[in-house]
This record gives sequence, structure tokens and C-alpha cells, in this order.
Amino acid sequence: MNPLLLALALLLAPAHARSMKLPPKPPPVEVAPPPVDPLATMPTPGPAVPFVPPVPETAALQNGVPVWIAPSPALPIFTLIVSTPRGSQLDAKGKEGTAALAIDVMRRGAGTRDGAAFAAEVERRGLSIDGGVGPGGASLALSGPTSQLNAGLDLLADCVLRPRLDGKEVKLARELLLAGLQQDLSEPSFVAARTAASLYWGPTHPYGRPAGGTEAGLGRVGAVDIRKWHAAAWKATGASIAVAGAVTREQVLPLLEARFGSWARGKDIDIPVPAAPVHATEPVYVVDAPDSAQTGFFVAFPGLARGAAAEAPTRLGTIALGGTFTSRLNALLREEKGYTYGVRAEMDQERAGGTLVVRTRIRADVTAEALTELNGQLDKIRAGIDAAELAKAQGAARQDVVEALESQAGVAGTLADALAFGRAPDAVAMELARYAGVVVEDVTAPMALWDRTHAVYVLVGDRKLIEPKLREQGFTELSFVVPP
Amino acid sequence: MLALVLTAAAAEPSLPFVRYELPNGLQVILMEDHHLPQVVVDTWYRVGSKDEAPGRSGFAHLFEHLMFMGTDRLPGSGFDRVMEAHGGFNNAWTMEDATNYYDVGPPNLLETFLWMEADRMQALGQAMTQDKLDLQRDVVRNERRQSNEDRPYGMVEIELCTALFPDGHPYAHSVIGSHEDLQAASVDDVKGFFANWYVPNNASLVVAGDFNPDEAKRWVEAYFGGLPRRELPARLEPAPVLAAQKASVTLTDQVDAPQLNLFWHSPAKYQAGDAEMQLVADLLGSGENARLYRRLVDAGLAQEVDVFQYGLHHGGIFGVTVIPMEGVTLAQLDVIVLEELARLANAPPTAAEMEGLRNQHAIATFRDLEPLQNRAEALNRYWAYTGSPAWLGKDVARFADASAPSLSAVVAQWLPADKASRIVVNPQPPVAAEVKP
Repeated sequence: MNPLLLALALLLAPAHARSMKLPPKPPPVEVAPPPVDPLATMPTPGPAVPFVPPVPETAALQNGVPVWIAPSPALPIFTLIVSTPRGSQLDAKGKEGTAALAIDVMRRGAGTRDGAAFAAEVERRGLSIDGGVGPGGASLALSGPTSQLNAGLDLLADCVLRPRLDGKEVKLARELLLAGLQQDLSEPSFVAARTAASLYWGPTHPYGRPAGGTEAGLGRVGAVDIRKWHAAAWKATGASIAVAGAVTREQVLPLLEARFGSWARGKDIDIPVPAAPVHATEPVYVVDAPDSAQTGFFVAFPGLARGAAAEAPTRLGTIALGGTFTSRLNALLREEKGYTYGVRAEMDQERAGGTLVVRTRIRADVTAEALTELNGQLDKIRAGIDAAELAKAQGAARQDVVEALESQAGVAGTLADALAFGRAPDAVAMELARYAGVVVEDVTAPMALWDRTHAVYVLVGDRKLIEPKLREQGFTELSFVVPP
Repeated sequence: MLALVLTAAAAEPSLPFVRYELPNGLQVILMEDHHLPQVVVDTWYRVGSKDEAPGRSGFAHLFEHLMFMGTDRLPGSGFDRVMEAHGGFNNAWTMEDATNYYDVGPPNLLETFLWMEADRMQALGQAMTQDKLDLQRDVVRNERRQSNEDRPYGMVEIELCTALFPDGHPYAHSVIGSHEDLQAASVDDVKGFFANWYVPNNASLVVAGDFNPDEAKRWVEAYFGGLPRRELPARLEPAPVLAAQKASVTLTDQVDAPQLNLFWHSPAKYQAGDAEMQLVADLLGSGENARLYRRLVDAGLAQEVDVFQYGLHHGGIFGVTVIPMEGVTLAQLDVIVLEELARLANAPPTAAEMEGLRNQHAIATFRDLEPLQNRAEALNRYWAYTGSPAWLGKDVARFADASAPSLSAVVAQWLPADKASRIVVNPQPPVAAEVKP
């Protein structure tokens, strides 16, 4: 027995025991200690290791086009992205989809090769050239084995500077885009997002017009429009190049200089972006999708332009609302109520404005209940978040950065994004520092953006099923619309 | 880090790792990579929809959802909550042969990841309740609606199972299961499934990333070492199936264009012919230079063509999916697909085609192995299907070594026109619109 316990036992024992002669001490018995369950207590994670992302090397071509390079010798592959700050904003009125069609056709024959020969050459060398377009920019990304960098840059330079833009390829690409659009319009989520953008920004606003085009718009776009868009969009002015992979500055710069160094700067185009309209207590917009088992939700709130001062706290608050499995919306609508497979709150940001959005697909029979619950959470988030939610959001934001840096395409994309939005080469490190520096109080003010009275709600679902219950639950202001 | 040995022809990747087995049968694979401050714990259970009891289709996947519903030690949403509180995240997926769980986060979470995986491997079953089951059943049924019922052409992958496989075959039902079977699942089913399959000797654990291997070994031993080995139930070992069960199936869906699907039985995963079939799929359908793309899409006959080889433990599925342009019939497309298959069966691909196929495949392999989680999963997958995590080299070699005639041979052997199962999706006829006053 422990001597201290023995002393206590003697002290507390009846008086007659105090003088009692102690029996001889028994020989020690080997008693196995009670089994310790190693799983009894969950280990607490130690402090996080600080992470400072690498900063790219920077250079510029003779014509001023900036080049950022992130060498990574781990794998013998690379990704190189050429970007222009001019995208679907240049689409003429009534010809929505010009930029999307053009970026596709630029890859369908260039330089000395027609479409078939170009595709065959790209694939034979293990390369790929992919295009992307949004309201405020367009890009072409070349990826492949480093051994094919030289040949790949020849092909990419042909796409950017010498695309054929043949009428035959324009026709084929247009038909394919239209067919793809028809398919997408069968998806409630796609329809909801597209309809909400149009209603929120307005159908003629650059952010309200679908960058992927409309059926009517694409139908009017011809080879002449494609050539005009290409000439206006792809100039050295404002363009940038980002490279990641098993390349060095010494290796890649001369190759780029030879292909893009004499690319004419051209005259920049000032494309004004109108301010976002202010919404005040609008009806819930409903797109009828007969027999849908789920209702697509897309709710758009006033948001922030890229680089806005409150970007970091707004993002962290948005993650707390609907950015992870245990975020408020997922915890309620998925895990507690079982209404959905998942729900997401996020920021859509462009150069001159943005929105905060909630998107989900809800079991059709509980559409009205889910909308009520969603509104309850939106009202609550305006009071801000707590310290635990902030820490979680900061961890998620850091993890997003780490994940983006896992692949060369991710690194190149991160650099291209920073270049496009005029950020510094250490933008990623700065972003991480900003997230880490946010305190709970910083998040409260931006959460006022989740104000339902300024939001546009779009539901895409089976009208005959959802309308009666929506009205029953007090959503009497309904407006039935068709998608743009 | 993904190590490379450069050869004259191509870079040959390898994934350096250490593998050992605990006395209870748990396979442990450690792969260090200190490139980024990140760790992954990837746990692979050799149980999937093929192991479901009759009348319980969808159960393995439903169970995957239940693995996140808490234990007595870490109740409720603690698994996600703890992980996310420290910057980590997790997810899981279920397929016919396996269920895979992964945890990703900063290195300081590694010990917690291991504890949480061991905790639920040991104690998930005893904490199961009717409420948890009901809730996740709803989530899974929502997933079915979102991924299949409301997704254009989404019911094809469900119909495919009975079109190709006979009743009673482990692949004769879909991973997502039927609403009826999901509704029928009980708490006892959950507990039984857990006791049968979620045991260390049916799992392999990969720890990957920025960690100290000695520390990781100590934690693995401490948390998983005491979990008991249990005898596994007998698994169905079906006879090989070579012929489709249904020559044709017709579905209707809320789509604008019809869709033609042709499916055949094909070689099992990582078995002879599997790589060749994947190259055949690429030759026919991958990229704008692919043969069927040229014949169908470039020619303005189809808006989309997709070709795939999907290898599984007990056999594979080869599929061709085509959506026509307006005015083109599925019969026209059918003829062209079969013509191209016959052409390939009779004449091997050209040298230029083979060069492109090999290069594209090599690059795709590199790209796929860039994310740490993909590498962790690859080690587990190789272990589960081949018995060796060190199979990457062989995997790459089987594509590099595939000859042009071998592509023709597998087409001739596996894809004869009369062995195909056709699933046609027709657009639902329009209903008269309701006119409201």
C-alpha cells in the first residue's frame, strides 16, 4: 500500500486499532496492472507547423508580357498558361458565347496544321492544350512532358498568334457547344446558377450573361465574329504567362521570348463594368422542372470584387456557413434533416464585383421546409461566428492552398490567377498570412452581406409538387421564369 | 516524393514505401514525402457492393456513410468536427470491390487521424442506432436522386448491372442500390456488416506525406495493435461471365437527345488484356484525334462519344456511349461504332497512333500521381488487387509494352458485335404544359 494511504488509514481508523500491532508484511504479489486501453483518450493535435508557400521567379518578355516561373523538378512534366484579361465581356450583344466558341476554335487548327493534323500532333507528343474563358479573361493551358516543351510551345504559339479559325471548324464547334448546352439545361443546378446570375446582375450585364453562351447567341456567331474577338482579345497588352514544372528560368525564357517576345502589344480596351443592381425583397423565382426528384437551389447575395479589403474575413465566415462537412448549413440540412446530399456557400468573385452564393439540391418534397431552414441559418450567420468556427475555417483555407500546390497544373493556375488579378508574386503567402490574422470580430461585419432582403432566390424544381408547400409555408411571392 | 528513373523512352515512376503487417493482419504501408506540410491516412477495406447480402443492395455504400456517425468515445459528428477544427478533412467512396476512407491534413493531425480510424474500426458497430441509420439512409437516397435519377442518362449505370450480369452475380446490382433495399436495411444489418468486414485483417492502411516513420509506426502499433483479428465470411466466387444477359434495354429520361450505350464483358482489373482494353478505349474515344471522335463528332453525326474500360476483381466492363446530333438515328451510330471495332479487330493501330496512346497514358499516370492522396490510394489499390503495393512499375510497363497487334486481339476476343448489350435512352415525350389562369 502506498505509505501515505497507510498513514491516512491509521489516522482514520477506530482508536482501538491505533495501537494494534501490524501484521507482518505479506510477500509482494505480482499483480498485472489493469489493461490500459490505448484508445481511451483521443490524442490532441500539437501546434500546426508554419507554412510559407514558395514564391515564383519573375521575368518579362521584350514586349512586357510578365512571366512567372515555379520550377519543380519532381516530375518530368510541366504546365504553362497564357492568359489575356479580355473574355466574354467582349461578346457583342445578341452574340453571347462568342468568346467560348472562339477559345475552342483556336485549338482546332493553327499555323500550318488543320484541325485534324493539329489534334494528331498534340496527342502524339503526349501534350494537351485546354482553353478557358470567363467574363474578365481567357486562357490557354499547355501541359505535357518536359521533353516536349519546345514542340509544345510551337503549337501553343500557333493557337494564340496564328489560329486558323476556319469556317468549317467554327460550324462544328458551335454545333457541339449548342448540343452541350442542351444537355446542361437538363441539370437543375446548372439552370439554377444560370438563371440566378441573369436575375441578379441583369441579362445584359457582363456577369449576368452566360460566358458559355446562349442558344440564340451562339446561333448568330460566325467565323467573322470569332476572328474579331480573337483580334481584340489576344494582344500582348495585359497578357501574362505562368509556368510550373520541371523547367528552369534559363530554359523556358528564351523559348518564350522566341515565340511571344514580338507579340504586338496592341491597344488596350477599357471595358467598363456596370455596378451591380441593388435588390430589395424580390419574389422567389421558380423554374419549372417537371418530375424532378430534387429542387436545385441557387441564392445570390451582394458580394465582393477580387482583392476587396474584407476578402479574408468574408471567405472565412462563408466557409463557416457552408464550406465544410460540419459547416452550419451541412450540419443542419444534410446531417440533421437529411434534406440534401450536400450544400455549399461560397464566394463568386470577379474583377469589378462579386456575389456570395448558396447552392444545393434538395429533396423535392421538402423544398419549402429546406428554404425555411436555410433562411434561419442565413439570419443567424449575420451575427458572426465563434472562435471554434473561425479556427476551422482558417484550417480549411490553409488546406485549400496546400492542395492547390500539389500539382503543377494547380501551381500554374494559382500563378495565372494572381497575375490576372494584379497580385504580387507572394500573393499566396500573403493570403495565408491574412487568413491567419483574422480574429472573430473581423468576421462579424462582412457577414451582414448575407442579407436576405438583398438576395435573389432561384429554385428549379417540379412546380406542381413544390408550389403548394411553398405557399403553405409563407412563400407567397413566387415568380415563375424560364432560364436564359 | 514520387521518385523517377529517367529512361531514354520515358520516365518511369516509382512510389517508395515501407510495408509491414501487424499480428492482427492489418497491412501497413508508409510512404514519406516532405514536399508539402501535409499527411494522408488512407484506409482500404476489402468490402464493396459485391459483398452485399441479397435484398440489401446499396448497403456497403450506406455503411460507408455510417462510419462518420460517431462512436462512444467520439460521438456525433466528432470525427468531422475534430478533423476540421485542425485544418483537416476526410471523405470516402465505395465501389463494387472496396470501400476507401481518407483523411487529409497538416502533419500535426497524424496521430489524431490514426486514433480516429482505429477507434471507428474497433467501436463503430456498438454505437449504431436507428436514428443514425435513418438519417444516413435519407442522405444516401438523396445521393441516388442527385447522381442517378435527376442526372441526365444517370439510370444507365444502374440498368447496366442487370444487362450484363446474371441474377446472383456480385456485380448484378448497382453500388448505390435500390430505394427498396436501402429502406429495408436494419440496425442489426449494420452491426453484422461491421462485425464481418470491418476488421484489421480485411484492411490496409497507408500513411503518406510529411511524417516521421518511427513515430507513425509507434502510433499504428498503439492504436491498431490491440484490435482483434476475426475470420472473414466466405466470399462469392462467381464463374466468369462472358455473355451479356440482356441484348437490349430501353429507358426514357428527361433529356433532349437520345443516347446509345453498348456494353461488353471485358478483362478484370490488372489482368491480361486490361491494359490493352484501356488503350483501345483511348484510341477510340479519348481526345479529338480519337477514331470514333473523328468518325462521329468531327463528321457532325454525334455531339459526344465516350469509351471506357472499367476493370473489376471478377471481370471488367467495356462501354461505348454516343449521343447523336439532331436528325441522326441511333441505328446510324450503332453501325459506325461496330464498323470501327471490326476495323480495329482486323488491322492493328498505326505506329503514330501507338506512340500517341503510350505518351498520353504516361502523362496521365504522372498527373494522377501528383496529389498525395492519389498516391496513397494507389498503394492501397495495388495491394488490394495485386498483392503488392510496388506494382506501379508493372502498371506502367504493361501499357508501354502493349503492342499494336495485341490491341486488335483483345477487340477480336472481347468485343464481337453479337456479345454486346445495348441500352438506349429515349427522351421522354413532352407532356402538355399546364396553363394557369
